[in-house]
Amino acid sequence: MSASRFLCATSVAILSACLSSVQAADALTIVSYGGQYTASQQKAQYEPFTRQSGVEIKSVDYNGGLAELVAQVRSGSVSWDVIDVEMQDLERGCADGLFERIDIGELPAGADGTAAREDFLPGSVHPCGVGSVVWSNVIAINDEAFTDSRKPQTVEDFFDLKSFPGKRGLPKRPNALLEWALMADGIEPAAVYQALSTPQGLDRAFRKLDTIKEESVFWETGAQMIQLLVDGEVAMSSAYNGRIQRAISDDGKPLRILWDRQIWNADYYAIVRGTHDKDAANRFVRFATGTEALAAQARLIAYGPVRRSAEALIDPVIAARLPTAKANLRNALAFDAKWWMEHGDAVNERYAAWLAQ
Amino acid sequence: MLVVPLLSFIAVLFVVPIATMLWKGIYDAEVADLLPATTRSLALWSDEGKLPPAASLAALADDLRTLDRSGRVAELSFRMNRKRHGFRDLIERSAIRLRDEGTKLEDIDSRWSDPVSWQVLKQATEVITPDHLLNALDLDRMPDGSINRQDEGRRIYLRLLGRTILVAAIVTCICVVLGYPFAHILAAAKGKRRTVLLFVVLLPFWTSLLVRTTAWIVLLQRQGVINELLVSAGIIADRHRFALIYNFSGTIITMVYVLLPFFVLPLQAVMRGIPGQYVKAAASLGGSPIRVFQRIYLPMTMPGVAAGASLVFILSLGYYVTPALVGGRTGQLISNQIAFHIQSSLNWGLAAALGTILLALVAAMCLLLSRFAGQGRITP
Amino acid sequence: MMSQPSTENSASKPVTLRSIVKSYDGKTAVVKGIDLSVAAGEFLTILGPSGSGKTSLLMMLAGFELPSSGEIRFGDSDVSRLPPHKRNIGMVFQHYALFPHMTVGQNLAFPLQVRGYDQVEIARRVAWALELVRLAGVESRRPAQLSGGQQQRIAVARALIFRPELVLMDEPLGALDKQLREQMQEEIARLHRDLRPTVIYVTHDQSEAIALSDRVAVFDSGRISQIAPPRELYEAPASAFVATFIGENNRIPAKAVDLCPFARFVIPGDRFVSAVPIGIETKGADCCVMVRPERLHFLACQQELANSIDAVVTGVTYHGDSIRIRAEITGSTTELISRQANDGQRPVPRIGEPILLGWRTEDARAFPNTAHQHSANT
Repeated sequence: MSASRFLCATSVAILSACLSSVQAADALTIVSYGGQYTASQQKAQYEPFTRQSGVEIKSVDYNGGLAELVAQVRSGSVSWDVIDVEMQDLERGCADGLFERIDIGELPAGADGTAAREDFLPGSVHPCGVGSVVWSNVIAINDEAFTDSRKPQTVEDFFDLKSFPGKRGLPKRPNALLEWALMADGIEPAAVYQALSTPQGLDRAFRKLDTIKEESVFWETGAQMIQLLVDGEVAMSSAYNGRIQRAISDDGKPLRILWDRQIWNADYYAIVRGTHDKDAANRFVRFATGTEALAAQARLIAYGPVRRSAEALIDPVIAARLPTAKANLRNALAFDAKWWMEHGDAVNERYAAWLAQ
Repeated sequence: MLVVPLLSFIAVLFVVPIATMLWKGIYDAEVADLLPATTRSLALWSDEGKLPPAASLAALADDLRTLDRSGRVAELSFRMNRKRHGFRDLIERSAIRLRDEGTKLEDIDSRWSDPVSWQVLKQATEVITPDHLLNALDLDRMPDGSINRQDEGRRIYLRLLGRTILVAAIVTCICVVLGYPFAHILAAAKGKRRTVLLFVVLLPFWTSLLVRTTAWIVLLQRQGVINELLVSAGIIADRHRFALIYNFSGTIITMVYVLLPFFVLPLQAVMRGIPGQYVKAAASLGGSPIRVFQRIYLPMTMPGVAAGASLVFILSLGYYVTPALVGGRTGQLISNQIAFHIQSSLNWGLAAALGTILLALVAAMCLLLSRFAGQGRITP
Repeated sequence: MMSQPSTENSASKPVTLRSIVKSYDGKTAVVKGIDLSVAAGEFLTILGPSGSGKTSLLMMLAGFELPSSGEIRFGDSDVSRLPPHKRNIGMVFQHYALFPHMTVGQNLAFPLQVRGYDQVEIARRVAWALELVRLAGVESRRPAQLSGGQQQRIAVARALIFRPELVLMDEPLGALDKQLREQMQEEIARLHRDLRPTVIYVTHDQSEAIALSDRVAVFDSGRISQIAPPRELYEAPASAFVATFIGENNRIPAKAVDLCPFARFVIPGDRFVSAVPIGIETKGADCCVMVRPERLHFLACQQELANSIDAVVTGVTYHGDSIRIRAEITGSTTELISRQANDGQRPVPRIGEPILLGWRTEDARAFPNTAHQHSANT
């Protein structure tokens, strides 16, 4: 319950404050999502940075969300220095004053000499953080669920229960889903957010979702989404490309990614306001978002580098599986975190109400 | 005093967090802190239907310039937009134009010439606010202070609260029906049999939440163990597999499983405390087994039933992880929203208000149940 | 006399037990073949130490246990296999077993309600029963608001209110203190006198048994050792076990030296004494001579009574109305207890003094030595 949440957040803040006074003064605490993702960061970014600069890095895992960070910053006992956040949390944390400002002018040029301003994908440098990897909301299918020669190819197919019968997996939060609903209903990617901003557009998106609601299974976590697909409980699902790619290449599961109108999103390195060593944190962010470090990470995990210069350094076979591959980006939509921050409250409540009906 | 450690423990772990939560549900000084001069100025303005004095407009312009210099406009626009949609754009445009052109507020946007905008702003600067509680009750305070129901599409919290109570009530009823006979058997059992039964009851406590949930998914899903067995036994056709999970029944099944021990354990303790002579006496006085159960055993075990049932009910109200994983779209309960507003939307005021309502509900339920339980209390 | 319920639906019935055997594990029997007849309206006490099988017998009478073999009859009907609620017995438990969630009135009404009595009759009987145990006016109280003695009276009233064929009492006074116990004994005796139910009363307290019963059945190891009216049990116990279990008794180890024409025994200190022999068949047999303390007198001279022995006083307790002396037979370690009414004439013996103790031959009984070493001399 919420009381324990508050308490939890406060005690985390107190605990980490105690711990931080023990750790070496020049160690940098970097917070990320853990698992294979953090493992790729450690190999590609943390360790090379320590070798180069001599600054020790202490890796801490979290589950996303900003509650703990808010507790730290508001209580003034900050023990985290750099945090890996997704676009929406970056936007929200930035509005909430949780992060230090970053100047794009200070970022180094790409390895091929391209200036930072051109090298980074549009939107991947933010006043509060620098992008590192591009991940993507995609539609994934279980190949075994479609025995005919004709398999789903597009977002329209996802909403077409007649031609492609089978359960659909949908997330419990509306992010990326409303966008697809509108695109499947004939709206161009470029016009999606504009349409969603109007009551009529929003109604239209929900009406489109209504058409598959009864045939849908709603998942809470990424792990559950994979499980549903692999067990055949759903034939197609809204999905994250990284997890699907891992299930395909590591576990040999018969899944497939539809890149049609993928909605790409990015993770950012942000510097926590009140960090004990702003200088070292800055140096780390610049290093970790450099061409080499990004390319090294993309070799380890199926997320695309935000620098165009890094793509050139990646094996073409791997590069083709990334959200940033040219073919995959053809009709992609960039996730608009600003739109979601502005409309999130109302849309989330409406989606929850829609789910509950 | 020896109770000091205990009292401070209770204070730190119970009283302070709950008081903080209640306070956060009605106290919100974020906008007032961001707009100190405007807040002071608007506090004196109460002339509804008219614009505030020029001094207030100047104060807001000053505050916005100050925020812009320290890069904190977004903090204000984010919060104001939450109060009333569209304010984000208004405030950011105003801040930029104040910096770049130095124009007056009323020339930047016509909305600053509308008293309604100022009423919204005044409401936002009030540090003691009913807004979160109203929001949690699907109500909306209009700029003129009147209270309307929330837009129909956004009415969600009362519905979720209702569903949470419904789920808790159903889970409690099933726990009572399943748990009562089991508690009786457990209370009567001795030696090895008792050890085995206790082990069975406590099993849910010895497995982690995720293992438990995964096990249920494996068991209940369409391609799961139960459906496979039914299909291979020819009881149901392949096309007609039961949907046991990712719906309401999934929520109920898994919650009953997890919460059953909380009902059985207190009840069997009460049952064990009832000397066998009461039932013997009743039988010897001519009571048939059914009469003895109705008139003697059931009333005497009522305190245990009430204790177990209230425990299960209250725990059900706070449950959300398991229902979220196995309940599909019906697995959304009020606590999911509380967690969401704490973790993701950072709307702690609303989370606290929802928590307050849940707490009030639990308190009311405890009161009700304690009166109910009081009737059957055993007096030595 | 108080008015009795009009609807007299059951008179007291005789109870007959035939060859009742009870074994819980199928091997060792705890009740080893009991034959017993209780007359209608009789007050019979089953007396025995714990583990003697008396509680098992009671549970079989009540129907909570079934006999492994044998037959139980209430009047003419065989109830051996009947469940408790069909036996029409009233039962009083040691810990009252008043239902704590009901008022006194509801407790009393319970046996009537389950028998389908109408409200008017129930109210009448409840009032009658409360008057019977002199507790009129407490029907709306909870049992916990009454004293232990009052609770037990209500429990007795509840067992009598439906005029059962048989009333079973399981150590009903065990939870009360001494003074209350005596009051309740009188109360139970009065109720039995007034209502004449058939009562089977189980206790391990011999003074209760003697005070209340028409007859007492002394239980020993699953069997009836002796069944007789209290006076006969006291005056003419049939075995050493009964002699020691009922009342106080001195137990003097002895050997039979002569049986005819008079039984003579040699006791520690090599003195010869006489006693009434019970079941002693051979000369030279090991046996014991029993003399009750109040029949063992301290003497002024040897010829005063038929038997006399020298002893040394080892303890004196002055009770006012009586004097109790503990003395060791000269030349042995056997201790005897003597209790004499205090007439105020004789000096009180002092510890260490020699003393002469004696008894009339008809006051002493000699029994064969059995495995039992129960002694009431404590």
